[in-house]
Amino acid sequence: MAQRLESVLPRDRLVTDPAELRVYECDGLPVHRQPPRFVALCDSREEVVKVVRWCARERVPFIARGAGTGLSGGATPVPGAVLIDVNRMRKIRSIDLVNRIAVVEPGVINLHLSQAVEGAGYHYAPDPSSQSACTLGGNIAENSGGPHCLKYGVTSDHVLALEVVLPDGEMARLGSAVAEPGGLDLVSLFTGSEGTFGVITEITCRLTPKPEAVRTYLAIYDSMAAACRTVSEITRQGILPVALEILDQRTIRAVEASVYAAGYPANAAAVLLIELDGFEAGMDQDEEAITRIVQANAPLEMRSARDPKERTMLWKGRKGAFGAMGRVDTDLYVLDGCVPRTRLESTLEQVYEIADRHRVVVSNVFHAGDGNLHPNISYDGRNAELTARVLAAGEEMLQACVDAGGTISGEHGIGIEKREFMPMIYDANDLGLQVAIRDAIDPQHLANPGKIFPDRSAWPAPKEAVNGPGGGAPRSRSPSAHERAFRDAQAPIPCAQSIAELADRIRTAESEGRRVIPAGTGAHAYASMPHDDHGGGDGKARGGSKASGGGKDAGEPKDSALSLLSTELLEGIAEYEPGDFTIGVHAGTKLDDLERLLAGNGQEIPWDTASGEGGTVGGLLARAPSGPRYGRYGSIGTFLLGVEGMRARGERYKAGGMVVKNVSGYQIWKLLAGSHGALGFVLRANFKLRPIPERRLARAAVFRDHEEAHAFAAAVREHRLEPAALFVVESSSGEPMATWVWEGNAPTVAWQDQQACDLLAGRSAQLVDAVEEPQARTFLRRLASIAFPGTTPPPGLGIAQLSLLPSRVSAVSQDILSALEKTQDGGELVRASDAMTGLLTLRWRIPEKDDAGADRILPILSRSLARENKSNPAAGTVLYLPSQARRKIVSPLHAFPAEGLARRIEAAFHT
Amino acid sequence: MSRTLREPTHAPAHAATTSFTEKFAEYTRTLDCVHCGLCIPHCPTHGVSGREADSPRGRIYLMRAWAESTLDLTAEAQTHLSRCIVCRACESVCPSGIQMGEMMESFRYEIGKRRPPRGLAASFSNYFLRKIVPDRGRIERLSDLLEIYQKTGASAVMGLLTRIVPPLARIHALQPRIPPRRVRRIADAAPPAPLPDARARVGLFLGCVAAEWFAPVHHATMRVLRKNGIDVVVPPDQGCCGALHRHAGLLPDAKELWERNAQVFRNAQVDAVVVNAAGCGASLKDPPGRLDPFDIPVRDIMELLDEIGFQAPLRPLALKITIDHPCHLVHGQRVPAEVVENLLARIPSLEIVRLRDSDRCCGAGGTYNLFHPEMAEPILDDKIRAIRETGATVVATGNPGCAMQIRYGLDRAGMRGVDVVHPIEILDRALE
Repeated sequence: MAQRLESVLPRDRLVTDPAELRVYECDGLPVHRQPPRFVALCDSREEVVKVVRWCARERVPFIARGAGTGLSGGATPVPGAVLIDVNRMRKIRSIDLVNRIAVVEPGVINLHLSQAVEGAGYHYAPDPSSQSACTLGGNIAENSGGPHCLKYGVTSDHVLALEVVLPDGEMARLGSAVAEPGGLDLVSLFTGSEGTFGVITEITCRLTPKPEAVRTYLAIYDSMAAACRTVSEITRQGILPVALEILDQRTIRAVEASVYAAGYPANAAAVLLIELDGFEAGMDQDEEAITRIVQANAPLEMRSARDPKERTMLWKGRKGAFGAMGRVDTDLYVLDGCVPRTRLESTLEQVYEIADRHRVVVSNVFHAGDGNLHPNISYDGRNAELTARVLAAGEEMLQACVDAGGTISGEHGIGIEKREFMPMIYDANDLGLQVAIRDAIDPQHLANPGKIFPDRSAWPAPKEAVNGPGGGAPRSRSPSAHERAFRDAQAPIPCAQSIAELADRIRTAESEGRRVIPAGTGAHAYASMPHDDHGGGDGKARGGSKASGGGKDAGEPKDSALSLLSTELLEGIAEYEPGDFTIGVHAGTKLDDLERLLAGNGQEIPWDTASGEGGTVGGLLARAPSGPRYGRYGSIGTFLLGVEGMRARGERYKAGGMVVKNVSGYQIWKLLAGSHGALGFVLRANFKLRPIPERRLARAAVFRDHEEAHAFAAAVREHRLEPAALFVVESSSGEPMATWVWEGNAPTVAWQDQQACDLLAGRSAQLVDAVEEPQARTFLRRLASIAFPGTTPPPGLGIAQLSLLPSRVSAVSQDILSALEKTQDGGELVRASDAMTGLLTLRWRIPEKDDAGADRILPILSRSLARENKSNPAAGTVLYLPSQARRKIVSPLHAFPAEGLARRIEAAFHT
Repeated sequence: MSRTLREPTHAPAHAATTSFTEKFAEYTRTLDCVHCGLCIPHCPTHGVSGREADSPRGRIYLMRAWAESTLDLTAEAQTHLSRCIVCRACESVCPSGIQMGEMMESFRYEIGKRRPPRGLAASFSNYFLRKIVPDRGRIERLSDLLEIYQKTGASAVMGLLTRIVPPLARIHALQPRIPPRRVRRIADAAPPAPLPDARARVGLFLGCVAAEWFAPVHHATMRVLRKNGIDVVVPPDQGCCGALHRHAGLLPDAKELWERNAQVFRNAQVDAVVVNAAGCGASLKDPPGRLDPFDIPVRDIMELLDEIGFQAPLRPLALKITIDHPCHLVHGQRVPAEVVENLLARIPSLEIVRLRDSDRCCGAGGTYNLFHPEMAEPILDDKIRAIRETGATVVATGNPGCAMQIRYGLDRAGMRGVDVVHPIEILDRALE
């Protein structure tokens, strides 16, 4: 067999020697061992394709491996498998600092990417503790976290596009370098899929400016409880440090005995590492607050590191903690539970209690700010009886995390290690959906088999739906204007009163050969997209356009066998503990109600809808619109932690949970964000929250011409200022206006505002007075309203959004304008360029023509995009058109089978 | 939570452990590895092949499995183990405190007993290490021959011959320029008069072939020390440090050499032993096979100067230099790179350009470059690339093996104009 594989790979890059194969039998978790049949050391995507094709043809399972630093056995082979080692694929293909994008091969080491751009003042933000060794390919497979993810988010938040070799050997390109909100987010689905969907061969990721200032503090306590209390108090006060890390006594001692000794005192019961980063201007205020909180919890000592060297020392101990455990005993079992932040202290107590009961040695070093616990159990693996006790203790500790409302893996993945624990969090329905998705992509289960999912026999029966929301007499509502216009809905639309009723209705429809499609209040039911109209999409776009509706919305409304079913009555808060900074809400919950509730606690989800837009949580999820603050905080998907949904047969499932870091199974929740109702019903969504910033300030300046306005926006970006929103708004009547919003603590806002005003100096611009809260919020809503057609749109209105590289927005925007001027249609055109994301929103109105007149702009957009696409990634989406000519504006970016992939995944929800 | 570390939660000794240790004296050290993999990117050989078995973690895995008798050590696996340069870069980054050097020495000794290396190269190596290196007389005669060989043009003839026998080519290319005989015989020269108010009295360690081939470095060392008020003696009976023998698994030979040197320097009644070869220094600081360390301190020359305080006045030196940090100085002896940098930075007008990956191996590894060109050459290529990037005209490196290797690499890359010197030579040149 090796001989035949030699035909696809040179002999010197095939490992076949039985002794040498042994070193590949485990990764960073040596508890499970199984040597592969061969190892293929691939140098290029072409070689990966060849090897995967060979495997597919021979029906041989394969496993991708990077540095082998994973901690859940994700890269551990199954018997007879071929290991595809990509660590030689180490090239950084391109770095684009203007647009903050890097394209790399999967074997590039995480830290090496940061080192490559640090001279220019950037970094790749996710920093797993193994960052000096682990590969980016592995990071994406596992959706790795890291200490600084508290502020910057996990791997998934930093991956823009992937090139993958699917299990049949076909290549697919998922996502793109330009921001494309909405659509099936296959990049997030692949991120954290632990190699079960194929092999990653290229990664397009985001680069983040390095903070201007960093301050690190070390608080030393004689009790773990005091350290935990400090953490919850810091988050509760709305301070968002970049990292909050705790090391317990045993960890401190092990680290101090190692080369990573950081000068932690050996008599402390816990040390808490706190790191702030951002603008120097805002540091003192946060430092004072943190010092106050630390002191209030009676520390033994508090230190601070201001110079990089001291800081490196304090961090060194944290980063080397795992390896230093080698000093405690020969083997180490690292656990990775995640709990809601307010449950940290009590869960930790349980962990110690469990360790004592099983007589095992546990040390804890963890990402306290995220609630991500890492109990490390040290033991001697040669002692079988002890090993058994270690595993039993580990299982109990994870159960304790689950019982506290948490999950079994925050950042290490399920792999082999926790496969059998999946039933702790998921029942047969939940696992059934995940496996159905797996089947859709890898029907033969050749890609990393034996990981994530336990045997079907171990799947727990689904629990009876406990009383969800709703529960009154049958009800229906009349269709909204949009639903009448776009969904052909004339008859009253039934509104499910309970989850049971919803399931009944779905089943009844199925038995009658109909398909029900989700609706909310009908606020956004203005467009939809039949499949055949947007071929060539990248798969992110199942509805292609932001077709769809204010409830969640629509699959294929033109088909008379489809009927709307509203979930707007299934509303209310399912779970909300402000201290955890998370909330679980039912799909029918009105966005306005939710916002009010959160604001009462000083919290928000940083999205913005137009005033009077209305709509439900479910609808928001289905559309995943890009709001004005998209560039700063990310899409709705970024804030989504979990969902409950209903698929075919009225089968209820859940995915994800209520914790901020979660890599237990596929990120199905992210798939639902922007799914436009194509994946069935959403019943509940869990979000992470942010504190409402201390100060919000909106500004605008009027410029003489387009170039000047865009040059100013580019300068703000170049100066690494961090506006919550930064737009250039241009209308056919009136001068170009740049407008921006600052958020954060008061000194940071003031300083950035001053910086931006300084940047204005010397430009022919007229500064408009600043607007503070509450008008600043209203201002954000006004920005949002550019993309909203209104509940009863005027005739001749059209809205589209183009996804471009930020560096290209100005040029493409001008290109479109001049093309339009030539047509002399004489309408109004508003162009809103998001300078941070490169999203260009176009809103036009040709009142004197009939509705179809609005369509005439589409060919112009198409041509312009096609031109842009010749040298840069670009895509476009129709948000609203009065006629039902629903078209995705070209996106000939990706000539790959990703669209088919999206279709197969969709089918998994409907079978 | 009042338990102490290493609390015996189970029976401490396993019945089988004893036999594992018998098989491989440093076996228990393999157990320190928790398989975290932080070492891998720092391993030069893994950098070349990308194979796990060419990484510290992979090698430890193989050694442990072999000792525990769960693995039949194939020739292929043994090749990967022999490809370890023992640069010990992994030790510097291992949170678990792995002792790769000791493990490798012990393992190679054991495997050498069971499977003595065969072939011409091995015989040559053994002859060189066991017959020539420990014998000063033979080293002197070899050096005389080499000097004549290089002066008479026989060298050019040989250059042709080497095209026919490739391994000779490498030896030929690696040979350093042998200094004239009068410079070479250091230990025989009459000792200079003792300094009146010496701050310390140190014994200079000469090394084996380095005693002859790098004699100018020794002279520079002595001048710099004396200018700093430190008396230097050169005990004549000293010998090879045994580092090469340890690399090759010739542990009994290494122990013999070690004991001889310990005796010689004890008798010399010096405050410290000063070494200007990083490899020798590392070897003298860590005794082979867990012997007791020297009872007098051993210091690298730069380490000593840093510790005792550099006092000699220095004149400007308008040079653009870059510093390579020998593995056995930064990883083996844990002398921080800044020590050398700070000392050289005292020289006015000296421009020091930072060398990328300056603490990464150059591929020399004693005689490693002769036996593992498939690794040593690409590793060297990267070092030469890094040097080229600096644009420096002088490379300073504190180890004779590295100096020879880098010289060879520079010549091969057509960079004959770049000098390779010991950092002490630069300080020496700047002495007023």
